[in-house]
Amino acid sequence: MRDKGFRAWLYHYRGRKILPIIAFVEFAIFFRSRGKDTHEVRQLMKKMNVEIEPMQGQSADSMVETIIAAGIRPNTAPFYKMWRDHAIAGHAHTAPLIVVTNNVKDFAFLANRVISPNDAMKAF
Amino acid sequence: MLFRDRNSNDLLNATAFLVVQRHKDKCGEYPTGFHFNKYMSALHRETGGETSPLRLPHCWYRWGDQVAIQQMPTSLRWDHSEPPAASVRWEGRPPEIPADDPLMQKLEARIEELTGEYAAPADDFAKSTKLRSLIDFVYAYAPFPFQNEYRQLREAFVDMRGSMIPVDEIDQAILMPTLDRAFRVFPEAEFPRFRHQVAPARSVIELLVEQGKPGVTLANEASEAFWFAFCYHLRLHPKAHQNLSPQLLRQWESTLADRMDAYEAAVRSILAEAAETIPSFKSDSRARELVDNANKQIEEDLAFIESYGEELEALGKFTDALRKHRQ
Repeated sequence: MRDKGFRAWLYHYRGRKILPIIAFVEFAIFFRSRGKDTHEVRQLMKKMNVEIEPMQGQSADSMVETIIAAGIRPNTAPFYKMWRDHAIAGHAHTAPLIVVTNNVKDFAFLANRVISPNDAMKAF
Repeated sequence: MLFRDRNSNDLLNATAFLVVQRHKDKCGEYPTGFHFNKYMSALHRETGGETSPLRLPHCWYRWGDQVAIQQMPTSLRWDHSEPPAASVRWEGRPPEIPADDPLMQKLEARIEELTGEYAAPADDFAKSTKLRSLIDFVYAYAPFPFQNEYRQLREAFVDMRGSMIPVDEIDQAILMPTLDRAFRVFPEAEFPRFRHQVAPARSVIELLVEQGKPGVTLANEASEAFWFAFCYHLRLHPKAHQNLSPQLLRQWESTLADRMDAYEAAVRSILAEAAETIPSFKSDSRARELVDNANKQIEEDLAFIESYGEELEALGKFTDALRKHRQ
């Protein structure tokens, strides 16, 4: 959401928009470090009609499946490096949900279910 | 009431498994979510509905009577959240089929009949009259006549996409009367928290339909948005669900206010787009106040968002730095 054009596009996008709870926590911690309130992050998401989604059954199951499929073993360096991305990706457990991120490379395990903000603006 | 583990209902396990298998046997493909929901709905109703030992967790929602996936056996896999686009399969060990149970025998026989009558590959099905008759079959027992009437409106919009007749001639002949029939039977007394949305939604859809072809596309979008918004309330109505856990109902209830906010934002966005892209809409005096109010709110919202622009740009740089550090 660093780009003003994307923010305006996201605001006007009329489909379902989700912010995974882990990403919300990162947002909130960063905002707090800048003297803002956690409540302000919620207000900002609400204005954009972005749901802050807790991790639930399907998201958790999907996260497990993608980690296993990627051959990542628990308690290893790759696990600690990658678990957060898999947790975020778990929220896109069922089509038509996809992940929109500047870091498409890190979500390559999602194949065609990950897209950059620029590509999202062109596609939808 | 205690709700047991979602995999502990043997009859439901067996029935769901057989529905998937028999449909595939008949037409070579797994059932769409659409098929699956209709079969399960019919079986549940025909074995007693509210008192059925099947105890199907289901609710009336966007596409008719739908199973609550969250409470169905975990071996059932859906590859899309929208039933018409989903393919439903059983993954893992087949369940035990209580073959000596008279009710199971009755269900098996009925599954054979239903799949024999309605199973078809997804592409063929969409084009065939089997689709309509299966929908009619289930909608005949929808709790509110409004659902069936609004279904006709949604189908009219879909039918018009492929129409060769100039749209301007169709809208008055087909859409408006269909729209009128649906909205006239909205069950206001049953939905006190939603009924205030009905008249404004009707006005917006009618205004857009009156603009001809460019308006009909946005009218369809407004109509779908209204229907989806209504369905968030519908699934919570006691007449429109059975065998759902209190936890699931509380979760749906907790998201209702946000869903309505999102609906109203979508309508504002549609109005703004209509004013920008359809000259006749922009100059329509009935639309003026709606558009002005929509644009005012949109400007306020965008200004609020941009007041955090600096933080959002800094956050982007921060996450980039974090990823570099992780490499």
